[in-house]
Amino acid sequence: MTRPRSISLAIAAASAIAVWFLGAPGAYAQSQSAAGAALHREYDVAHWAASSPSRAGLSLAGLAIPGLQLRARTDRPAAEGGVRLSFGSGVDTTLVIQIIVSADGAGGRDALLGFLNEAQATMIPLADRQGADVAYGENPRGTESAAALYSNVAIYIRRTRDARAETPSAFQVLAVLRARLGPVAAATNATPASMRLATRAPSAGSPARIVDLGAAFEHVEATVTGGFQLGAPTPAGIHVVAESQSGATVNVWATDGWARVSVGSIVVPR
Amino acid sequence: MSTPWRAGHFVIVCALLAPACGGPNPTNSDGSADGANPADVHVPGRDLNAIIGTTPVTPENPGPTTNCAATLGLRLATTVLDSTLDNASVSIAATVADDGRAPQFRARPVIVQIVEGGRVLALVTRNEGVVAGSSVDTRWNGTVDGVAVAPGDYTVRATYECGADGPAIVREAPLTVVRLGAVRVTVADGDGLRIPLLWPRMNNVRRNYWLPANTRAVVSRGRGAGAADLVGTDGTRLTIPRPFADLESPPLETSGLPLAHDYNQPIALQIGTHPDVTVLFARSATSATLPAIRARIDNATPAADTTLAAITPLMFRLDMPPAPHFARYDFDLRVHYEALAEGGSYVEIGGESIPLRVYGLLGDQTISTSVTAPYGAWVPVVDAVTGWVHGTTDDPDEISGEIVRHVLDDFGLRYDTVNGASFYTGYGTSTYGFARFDLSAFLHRDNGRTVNCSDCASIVSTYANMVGCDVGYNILTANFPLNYIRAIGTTTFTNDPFNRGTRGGFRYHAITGPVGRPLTFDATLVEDGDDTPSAAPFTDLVPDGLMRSRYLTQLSPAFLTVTRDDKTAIN
Repeated sequence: MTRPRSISLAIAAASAIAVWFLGAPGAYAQSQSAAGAALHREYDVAHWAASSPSRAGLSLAGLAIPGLQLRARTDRPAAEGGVRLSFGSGVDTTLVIQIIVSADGAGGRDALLGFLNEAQATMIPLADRQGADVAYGENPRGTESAAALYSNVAIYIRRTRDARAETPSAFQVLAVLRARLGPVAAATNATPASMRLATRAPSAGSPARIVDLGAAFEHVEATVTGGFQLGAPTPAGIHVVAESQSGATVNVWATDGWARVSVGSIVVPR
Repeated sequence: MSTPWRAGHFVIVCALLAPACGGPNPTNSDGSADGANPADVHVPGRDLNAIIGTTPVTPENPGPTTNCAATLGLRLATTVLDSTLDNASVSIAATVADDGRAPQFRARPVIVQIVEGGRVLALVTRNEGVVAGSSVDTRWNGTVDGVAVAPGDYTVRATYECGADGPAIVREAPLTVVRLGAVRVTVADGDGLRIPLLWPRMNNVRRNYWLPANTRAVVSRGRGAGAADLVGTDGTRLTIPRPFADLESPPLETSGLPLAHDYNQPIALQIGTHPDVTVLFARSATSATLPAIRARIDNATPAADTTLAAITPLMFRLDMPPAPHFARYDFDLRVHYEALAEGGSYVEIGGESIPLRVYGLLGDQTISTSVTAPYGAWVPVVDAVTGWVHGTTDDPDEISGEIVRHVLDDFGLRYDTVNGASFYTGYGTSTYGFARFDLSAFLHRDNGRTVNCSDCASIVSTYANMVGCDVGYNILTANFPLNYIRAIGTTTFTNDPFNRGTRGGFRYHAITGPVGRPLTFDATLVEDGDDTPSAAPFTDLVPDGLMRSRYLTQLSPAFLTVTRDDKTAIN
């Protein structure tokens, strides 16, 4: 089908006007809310089942996917994508798991909608939700992808296009993760551990100061501005060398045993 | 500034009587000491000290008169030498003339030697039959048996042997052996801009950014010991290291700190910048007879007097921009060392090259106004894009187009034909604003090679913005049907990219374009570029700078809303 040139030109002009218009004050917020409303309509969020009781989170300790190795891990707070685990065989990543543990069911819905929002195709409800409040996949079986919400815990599983038979289906991985859900939050500590960041003097001969987290965490990540790390961060501490006269700012993401990510920051003097 | 010429440093001419005869004046092409036979060099059987006796011969004390009916002159082009420099040697001329008693002149040998502390160290040349009015022209490169002599005071001695006609005629001139060289180089903005480079994975730790200040030396040789840093324990010159090979981390000390010494750190400049280059020169200990020595750099103008002391920082403005275009340049900063010579002129005594790697970029990164990590020009990105463009264009739109083509064809990326899901890009909840791109993960393909439009928009815009283009991402909505496309990493055109069995569409689509201008860069897909994009046949149309209107027309028959003109944050 060939679209008449005049129509094409009209579309182009309208597009240009749209770009111009959206650059105007106020248009930004308008487009944000419109996008959110459209997403809610698209996935019929108004008719989602009520949230089940909040969970403490999801345990990642010793998580193994048969036949695959953990290749990378990135931990960020819920608003920045949560915990992302990449598994693979050989040199290729074939499975990516994202887990966002929010404070409550509303946060969980936002997280799941964030997963759905990033996909260019509309996902389809899974035939078997595996106990989730809502669950979607690329088809009702969730062969290649599955996005599920267990109250405040949102899980997103994707096989990459390099995945072959060695990589289990998204549905199978969801079953593995579901078994690792924590107890309802009321029965345990519902809030993640709080960091109490502090610096201490370096060990003899080391040029780095050490940032202690002040609480027990399972996984730690950090970035430094105005300096650098002297090695990989660990729950035992972050070794930081400040290069800037004003010190180095250390941003810390620490994850507890229920995949809940705490964020903190501290300035390490030079 | 000029240094007063000190007469007598360079030319010593004496006239002594001697008989004479003619002969060839061989010199070594490599300037090394003549006489491969160590017996000649160390003259055990021809003890020339014995010939001239033990009395020191100086210009003020020309020695005993003879019956040779000759005069002997000795001239050095310069009285200073650093044998470890490139093309280093001292030119020596021993001139023989009859003294007016020509009938008595006979050709006799002329010997040129290097003497240290009264001991003959090296035979430079021996010419057997030197006729009146001729000159023995030779050079010495400061080595003995291929080994550089140590810095210090030496004497060049020329001897005209008179044989049975009387004592030899001997002339001597002082020669100081020094060590000269650059030990640090810093580079400042000059008339343009030096752009901070960021190494993103220091010591192989993810997101361990290293963003050195522009005040840090880009080249360092040795450990801050001055001239002692210029040579190794075996006397050979220590080479300036080649630029860092690792694009993600600087080389490290065993302590884990970036190398503080003996490194060569690439830099980035805005194209066309004439930077100010400050070189810290070191020179070994002075000597009473040491002439003024200065440094010169090819195609550079010094800011001040360039005479070298023991430690001398000198600033030069480069006359030629080291990065005239958008490209990666490996070039040598060529330093020449010159010593004050006869008549007040300077004579080159050798040189050295300082290798530099310079990335020519359009400007600072445009992703953020932040000047702290992670907002620098990431070396892996800068190296890739400048390598692709390679000076073929300085136009930001053409550079962005080149990025699109390489992302599309060379990164091994494959479209997520399952859901069109993002693997490296996230947005704010339920919006397409506040995009975040995990560049650190992408560089290692941590989340695999599967991507969607958001990822491709992030890659293209981030790569472009890091080299100084000004590219934003745009969002097309909503739920629109597709014409035929060929998604990244696929080989066939389809209008059903998610294999749902019917004409497909996109819930949204992310593209990029220069901020505020209706051009489109999209590495997610290739459009069907003919007049019927909704049907076969198909003609590749790469969105590497398409007018927005054309792009939209080929993409979908629907009216598309274009929103956002944002930058993607990175981590």
